[in-house]
Amino acid sequence: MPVFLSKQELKNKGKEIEKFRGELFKRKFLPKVRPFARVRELFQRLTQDGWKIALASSAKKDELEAYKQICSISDLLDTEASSDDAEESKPHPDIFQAAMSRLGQVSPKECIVVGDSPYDAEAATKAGIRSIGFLSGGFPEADLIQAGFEVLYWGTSDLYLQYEESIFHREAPPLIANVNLKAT
Amino acid sequence: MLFLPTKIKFQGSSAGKNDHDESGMRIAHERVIHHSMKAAIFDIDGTLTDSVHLHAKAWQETFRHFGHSISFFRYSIADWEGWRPINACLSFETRVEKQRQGD
Repeated sequence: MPVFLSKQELKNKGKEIEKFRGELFKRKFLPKVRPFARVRELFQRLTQDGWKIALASSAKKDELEAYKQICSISDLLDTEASSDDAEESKPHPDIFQAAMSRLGQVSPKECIVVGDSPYDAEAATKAGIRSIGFLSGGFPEADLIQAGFEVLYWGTSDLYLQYEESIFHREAPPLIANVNLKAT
Repeated sequence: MLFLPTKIKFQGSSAGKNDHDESGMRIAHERVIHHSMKAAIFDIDGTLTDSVHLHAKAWQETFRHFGHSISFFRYSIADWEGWRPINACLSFETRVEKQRQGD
């Protein structure tokens, strides 16, 4: 892979470039972002089944806020982690670990990552989390399977329509009812 | 048969403090209902939003602005966001349309 700038130059230049890109994206492209179908419905279904929901994106914090509005899911989220919370981007597991620590007492075994890129699957595996993949991001099926997703869907709408058969419904968190009526 | 009014108290609330409500009725307390903790962690771009192609456009314009070569463009994208195949830089709708046309 040809590299024309040294690591240090890239880092310095990188900050300037990233600033430019961030502002350009927010001004020109963010208004064009659309949610995939049935994101809110899917999240409502997950919430009904007792799942906590976290977002973990390498987007910046303010971009993430905008995405929450665009998808109308702010009220259904338990927590979120943006690039501001992680030192390294995916496939490094930082971002998922940040999301888990914000969720509190949750072990990787009790989590499932949903993503569209091989980096999501790799990062999840490194964090000890199982993952399911979406084809909606445009990555080839073979790459996603090889990266470690245990099952693939076309996207949010597909998962929503097949929800009852999905891992989320089959392995929904068990309900614990502690009824202790104190007699006097 | 006596029916007791029930107050649902979630974990962390001060269960057991009041044995009677305002009207003097006895309250059944400590009825804790919750799910054991499990979490779904979602990526956003390409997963919840059709935005991958828009990021690609923003990157393209950025590098045009700075005048760097396409190799640097690729290197940097790989460094910051992970490199995506060209196909992934089209919107979802465009890809579906292309597939429909047998492209």
